[in-house]
Amino acid sequence: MADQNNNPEHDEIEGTEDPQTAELVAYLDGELSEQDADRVESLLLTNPPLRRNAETLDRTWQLLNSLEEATASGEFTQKTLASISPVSAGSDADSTTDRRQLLGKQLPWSLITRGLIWCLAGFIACSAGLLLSRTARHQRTDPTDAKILKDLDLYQQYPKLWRIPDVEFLEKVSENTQSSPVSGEQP
Amino acid sequence: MLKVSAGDSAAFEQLVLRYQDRLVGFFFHLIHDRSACEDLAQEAFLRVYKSRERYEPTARFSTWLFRIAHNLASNQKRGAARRREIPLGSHSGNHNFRPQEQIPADKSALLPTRQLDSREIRDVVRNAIEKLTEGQRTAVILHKFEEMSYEEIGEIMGLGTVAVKSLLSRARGKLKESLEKFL
Repeated sequence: MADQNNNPEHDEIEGTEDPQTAELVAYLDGELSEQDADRVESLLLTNPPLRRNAETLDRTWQLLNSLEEATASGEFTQKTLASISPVSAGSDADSTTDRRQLLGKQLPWSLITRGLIWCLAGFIACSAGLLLSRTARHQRTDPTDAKILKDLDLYQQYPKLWRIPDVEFLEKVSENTQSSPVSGEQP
Repeated sequence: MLKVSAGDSAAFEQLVLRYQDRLVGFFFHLIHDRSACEDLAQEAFLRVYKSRERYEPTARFSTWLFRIAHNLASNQKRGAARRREIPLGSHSGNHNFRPQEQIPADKSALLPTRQLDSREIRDVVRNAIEKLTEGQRTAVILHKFEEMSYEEIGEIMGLGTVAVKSLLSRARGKLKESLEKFL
């Protein structure tokens, strides 16, 4: 029964509505046009039962003033403001995420591809520069270094060779070596 | 509300301060439980805050706020009906309301010469209100205590003006039947 009473649809189908009462209630509520209000007032002047009905409806309505009123408690405002704090913080986080998503949308693939191409070109340029510098250094040092390397054995024998008085001595030694066998090689 | 939409927290606080008593009062007339009605009012403000960016100033803010409150009350009533725990309009909470049969006012009303005190009158009126359907009760509260027009009530309840007129006419007819003997 309680459900039936609380069913909003039940309001529309419940009983039959008295048009005169509806008109009277609308008049008491100040919801009638001026013309309709004048018409109801004329009826009230000439129809005592209708006037009594209007007075009863009005007094009944006034009885509702006896109902207890309630206002918000002292801490209601603070509680309510505290309850929205997580929502507020959440919305800030959402807006940050939104900004990131927006940034992602503002960076199209063509821009990303262009960036990658520039990075690759830079890498190739660096590699080429390094290779060229190494080649140039090699070319620059090769003549001198090659001669030094060629005479390296001679330089290493220098402590022994500096005791030889001149070149003629060496030629004589060479000739003797070719004409006679070395004593160490004799049987 | 436009400032709230723009993210002004101080404006939201002003909004809460301005409407909190009306909203708590509205829920209190419906459910008579101070704790529950404050929870519902808080939830209504939370929903306002959550939907602040979708607010469009096409209607009065109070109409929008009470539409949210009406939906909350309806949902609460449906949830309570499913749970069979705290039906909307039942006497619960810290007010120690008593079942209708136990109210002395009803019994003493059988004595025509007895004068009812203010508390007894209040109980009788509350019982009369609770005999109304949910829609009638909401319309009566919005019209009587929020002084809203039929048009505003219709916007809040999703009804036409004619339907509101009919709703209030039936409600006042029922109230007259219930309370006539106490006049």
